[in-house]
Amino acid sequence: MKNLDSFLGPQITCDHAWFGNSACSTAVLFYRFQPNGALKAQVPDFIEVAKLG
Amino acid sequence: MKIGYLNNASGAFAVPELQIGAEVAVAHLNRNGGVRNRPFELVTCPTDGAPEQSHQCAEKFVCEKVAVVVQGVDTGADAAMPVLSAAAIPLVGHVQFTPGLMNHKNAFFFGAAAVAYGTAALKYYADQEVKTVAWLLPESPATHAFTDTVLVPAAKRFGLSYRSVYYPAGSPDWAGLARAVKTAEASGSIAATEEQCTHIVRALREAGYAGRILAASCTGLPESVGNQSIGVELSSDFWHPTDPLSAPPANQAEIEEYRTAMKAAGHDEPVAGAVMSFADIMTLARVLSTSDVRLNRPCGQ
Repeated sequence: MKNLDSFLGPQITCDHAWFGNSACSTAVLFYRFQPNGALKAQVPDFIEVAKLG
Repeated sequence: MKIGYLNNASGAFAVPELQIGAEVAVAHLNRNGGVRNRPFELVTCPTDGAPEQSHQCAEKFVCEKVAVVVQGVDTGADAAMPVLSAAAIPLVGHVQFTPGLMNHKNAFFFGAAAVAYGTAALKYYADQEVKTVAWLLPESPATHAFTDTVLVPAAKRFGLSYRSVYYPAGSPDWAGLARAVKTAEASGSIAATEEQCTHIVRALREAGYAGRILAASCTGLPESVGNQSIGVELSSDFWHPTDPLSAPPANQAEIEEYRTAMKAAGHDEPVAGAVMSFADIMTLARVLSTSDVRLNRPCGQ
């Protein structure tokens, strides 16, 4: 299964190709807590670890 | 279409609320015709983390002829895999919690790989000119190996100075740990329970720590530490419903779909963790709608 749009997440590929890993994604977002307790994203998009080289 | 659901309803890592999100997603999908015009049926099997229970649940799922098993959090799940694999029933989930599932050929996790969080966080800080990072990790051979093989090389690649500060999982001296990282520009943890996050943030704040604090994926901090959570950062492998405007349009629509489904199920207030299990079931439905899965299995095969 390749390049499927996951619900609320990035496109995922479930083929164990990344070091044999069973996770379908290596993409991570970062948030920061605001004074009202809400979260605010600190990056415009996912940081894709598999693409970092 | 029967879907097994394996989750710690009790025990040290109990997250019974995850089942709420899964149940709401199933009801939501069924109201909209199910998958390939077949309704979903969730076959639940609550566990407490004991491997024996997870093994018994796997046998139950085989006999119930489920097409796939969804794991919420089950710290005994490794023990379920031989039975599920023998029956060619895949296990899917969000996060890899146990070592036996990290590279298991019959397991598929829709969230980010556990080892990706550390590298992504180092990249995040490096991009913002942070120079020194020290994270708190539970003492174990696995965390030492993770430091040596993943974190230190990644930090070097990004031009960061990095060190792990280890604590005994059973009796951490949180105040002492906070003092140990005081010179780092960023600290906290990349993997921790809500309880551990609470202790870490509280200790760093009370020690007057001036750097940036990462609190794994702990979303409950405003409730547990109040104003000490302001400015604390966390990682996530999905767009959070509390910040819809930061998400791309397609994901904003999904956030609205989630909120509507939760309200339809009577959950007017947020249910912690439910969004993750809801999302996993919705993603599974997309996988099944495009896959050729066996829908009926003879018991014991």
